Amino acid sequence: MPILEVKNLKKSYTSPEGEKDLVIDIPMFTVNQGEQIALQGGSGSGKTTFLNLIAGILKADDGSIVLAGQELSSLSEAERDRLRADNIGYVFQTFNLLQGYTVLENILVGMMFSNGLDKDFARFLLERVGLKERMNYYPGQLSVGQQQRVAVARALANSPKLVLADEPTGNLDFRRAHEVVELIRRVCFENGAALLLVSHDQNVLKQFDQIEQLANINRTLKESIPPKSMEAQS
Amino acid sequence: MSYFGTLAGFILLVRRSLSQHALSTLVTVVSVALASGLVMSIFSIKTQTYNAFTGGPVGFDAVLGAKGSQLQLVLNTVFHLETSPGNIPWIMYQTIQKDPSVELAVPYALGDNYRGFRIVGTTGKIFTDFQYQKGRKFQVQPGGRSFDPERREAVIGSFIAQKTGLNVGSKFNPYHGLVFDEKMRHAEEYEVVGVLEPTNSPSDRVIWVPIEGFYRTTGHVLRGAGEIYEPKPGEEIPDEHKEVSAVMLKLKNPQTGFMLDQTINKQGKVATLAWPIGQVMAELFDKIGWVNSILALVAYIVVFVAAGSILASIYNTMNEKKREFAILRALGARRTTVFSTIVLEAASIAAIGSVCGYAVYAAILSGVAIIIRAQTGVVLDVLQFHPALVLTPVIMIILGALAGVIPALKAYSTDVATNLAPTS
Repeated sequence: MPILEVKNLKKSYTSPEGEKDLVIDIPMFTVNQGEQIALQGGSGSGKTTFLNLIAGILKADDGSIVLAGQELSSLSEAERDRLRADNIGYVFQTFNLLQGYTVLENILVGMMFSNGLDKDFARFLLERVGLKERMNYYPGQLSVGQQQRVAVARALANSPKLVLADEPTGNLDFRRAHEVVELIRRVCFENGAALLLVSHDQNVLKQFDQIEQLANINRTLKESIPPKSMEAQS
Repeated sequence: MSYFGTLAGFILLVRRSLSQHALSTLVTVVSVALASGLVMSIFSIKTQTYNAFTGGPVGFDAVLGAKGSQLQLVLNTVFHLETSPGNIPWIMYQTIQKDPSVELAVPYALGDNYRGFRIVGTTGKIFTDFQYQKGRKFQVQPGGRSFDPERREAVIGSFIAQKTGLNVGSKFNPYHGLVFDEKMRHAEEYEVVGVLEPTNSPSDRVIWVPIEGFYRTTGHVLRGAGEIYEPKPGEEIPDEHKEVSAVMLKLKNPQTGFMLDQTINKQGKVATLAWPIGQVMAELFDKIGWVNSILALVAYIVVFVAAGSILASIYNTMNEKKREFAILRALGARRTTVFSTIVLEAASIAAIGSVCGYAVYAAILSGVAIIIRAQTGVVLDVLQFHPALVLTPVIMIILGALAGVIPALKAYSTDVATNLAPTS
């Protein structure tokens, strides 16, 4: 059963010259419950825009996004915020941890807008990512790998149905990147959350059974990328 | 989500936001505390001094004295400030005390001091008949007694005992005049026979001595009969030569006041009746009402400046907080949540500042109370309730929250996607 269904999704930006620049044109994309999909896309391919559209952070120009059974375009911004708080976990490339908050508080903030604060669950998540002993540290006191693990724990704090991971290993070396992706996949699996991870890193993509090319699903890329390049990406 | 969960979340966000900018938060809290404390102090002092001077524990209804200013008469005899407008013959005292509508008449003879504290020559009635508050007479502290009218004895107010170290058994020499001058020392020596219990009134700053002794002090001359008379030792002073600075009156009813006012002030030419005492003082406060208006204006300006400092303090952090707001929004926070957090943060600064304002208020009022008590004997009470003690923090918090609206609108309009850098 799909947790996410995207149909005829279109999003464009207005350039400084005033021209419309279509960056997303996706006829169909689906993520089923518990499914783990890696989406491959290069820099500037609209990965983050696509994830922000799914999360309801951006509003589509056209098309349909059905998340957890709810059509996003029919919701107000506040309703989209609530839907995101209840159903989406987001792991960012730059972690986006709140620097003035402790590790534990970062996790609590992740659940604040959904089911409310649950310190026990926050501690449990930190234990799962191996940072229980660091719960009172501030992000600046942690290594880069530890910070990304906090971000993973925070993404699961609201017990989401879908975790979106945007280049989650962009700032990590090979070994740590591998560990973090394994961690994300494992905790998503354990929590029954579907995972949609976007990356351009072949080593990350290799860890997934199901890999989609953004260029294959986004028609704006199909039109702009020559056939040879498409083959090379594949 | 439960209300408790929501509140706990808000508290976490506000607490962290405040602690991230601890220095600017501290400075703003201090400015709010000073503003809040100053406003509470101004209004409380204004009300307490007005009440003390116009309706405090005076005990008398009217003062009969020499022809002149009623205000000067009241200030001189009731609050022991100002100079005496002159004397009236003893015979006037005798006449008015026989008036059936007068409940109590107590003569005051003024003109000497001890280290700046006024010495009042009077009769024993001040201890036996006079009530400074309903049902409350002067009480001599244990170990003391009231003076013998035929001896050089003194009963001193509690504030004088505290400030000069005089106690029962102490001896002192009066100084001529109402202002202390070491060269003006009288030769006569008085013995302290009693210290009064505190009354929290100007009487605490008075030395009471027998009026007979006052007349017989070297250098004092009497002009009750129009000619100079200098009392001789062992010789009784004829009543026609005696004079008093004022006669303190307790009237049986207000109608007596009207009647005496007509007789003495409007028809008579030799004396002045200051009546009612509270009204005379109220007129003084009315005349200087513009000072209160200016102080109130200053207070309002200070409050608005404090609210402005809250606005500036939070607004200056908005740019660096944009990313934090974007992260919170990405995690599911609504625009209204971010907006409310900023308003709550501003209100919290105002609330913390207002609470600290009570300490500022207590410090200011205590300091002012010491000065006013030393100068006038009027006692201000730090713990006395005034509506400003409740209204000021409430208004400060409302203004603080309003000051938070502008930065909150900026936070409200934060674009999530563009502030969750970098994008790809």
